Amino acid sequence: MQEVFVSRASIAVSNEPSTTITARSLGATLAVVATDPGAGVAGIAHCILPVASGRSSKLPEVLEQMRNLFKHMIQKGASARNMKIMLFGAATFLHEPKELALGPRLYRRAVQALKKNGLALGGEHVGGPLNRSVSIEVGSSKARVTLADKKEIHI
Amino acid sequence: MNTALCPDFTLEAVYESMVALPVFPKIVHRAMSVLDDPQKNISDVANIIKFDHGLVANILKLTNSAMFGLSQQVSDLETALALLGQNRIREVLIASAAMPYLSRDLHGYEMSPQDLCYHSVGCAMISEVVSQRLDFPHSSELFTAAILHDIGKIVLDIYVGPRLIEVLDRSRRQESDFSTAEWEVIGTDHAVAGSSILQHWEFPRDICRAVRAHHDPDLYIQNRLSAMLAFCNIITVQLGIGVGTDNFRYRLSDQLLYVLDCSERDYYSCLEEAIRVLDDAKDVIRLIFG
Repeated sequence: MQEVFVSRASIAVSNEPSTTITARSLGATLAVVATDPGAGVAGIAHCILPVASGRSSKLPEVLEQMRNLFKHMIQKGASARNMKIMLFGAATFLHEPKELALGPRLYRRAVQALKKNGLALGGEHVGGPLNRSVSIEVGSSKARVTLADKKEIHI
Repeated sequence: MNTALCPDFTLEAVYESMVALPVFPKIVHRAMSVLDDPQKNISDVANIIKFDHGLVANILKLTNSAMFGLSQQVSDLETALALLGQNRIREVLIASAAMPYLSRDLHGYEMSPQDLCYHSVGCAMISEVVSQRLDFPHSSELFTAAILHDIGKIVLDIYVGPRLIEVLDRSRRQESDFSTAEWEVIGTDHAVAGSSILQHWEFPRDICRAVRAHHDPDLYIQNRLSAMLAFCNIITVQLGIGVGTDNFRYRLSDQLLYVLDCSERDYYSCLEEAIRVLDDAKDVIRLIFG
């Protein structure tokens, strides 16, 4: 079994059934997980910016990152019609001013984009004062969330 | 010490343990004051630190690392110091001296040694990004405060570790912030404990105050260094850098960005730039701490 770690602001996609893709310690950032169980393809896009930080911005904002993920998924054999999308991360402080509410902004932008494109949200574990890691097994399309206290949640 | 048997003396045990903690190396304070003295030069700094082999090794490792892209290896201390420059020398001194304290498990906060180390160094690296973006002139003080801001967690974890489970339970049940729960159970919090340690180690008052205030929204907006430290810590936590159980269990000030004169665009730029420097941080951690 191979474990592939998604580094910050990057994307990992695989069609190897024995591979697990993991995005660690998400904080307030968002992991967009896509699977196509029929085609045996899964991937994670790690999103940090809800909007571009400026004209010289080098990091893709959340919508661009999602587009890139879907492109990579299709290149590996996934079909847009069969894709299941899940969202993870987007933690929040107990109270945060809206300007600093990174997690909720990322989440809202991602959900809006899914709705606009007629894609259903297939599962999520987001928000609250919880730091999470998420893993997806390519072969089974099963997602596993691990919390700071090592508690695991299967989605 | 079994604190469960004498809960009334928990706070006394914490403060006694601060005094028992190994003292922050005096050599680092001496070197820092020489760096602040315009009458002194790099040779004076080299003369102070040349007998500390660990520090010298770290300075040479960093100077010869990919971060500086030198065409040939440097093996003498004075050349290395000249190449590093004043600010980087301060950072290497503080980071080298702080790391033995930071490289440990914090069971009560559900943090591994890597978590605390990565969180502290990550926050310090992010402080450089934020200083530059927001034109903050005291970047060295901010760096020092950032790398040591959670030092109080070590003392609380060692001496009241088992009771931190109670703190966390209380914070979860009551949806209260972690500092409030620390006060209710232990009678202090890790920011106050950290500030006391730094005072005991004779750090400047502004740095002690910033560490004291870093989770207190009413306090940190009173002073720019404190507000800067709180902001750096928020970005570090949001990016998930060495985050434990407590890190999101705090309330943020609605006025923080206003006090810092930081626009939303500045904030996103800091997040973006932080990602770039964190790759450097990984190298520095690996280089200095093995």
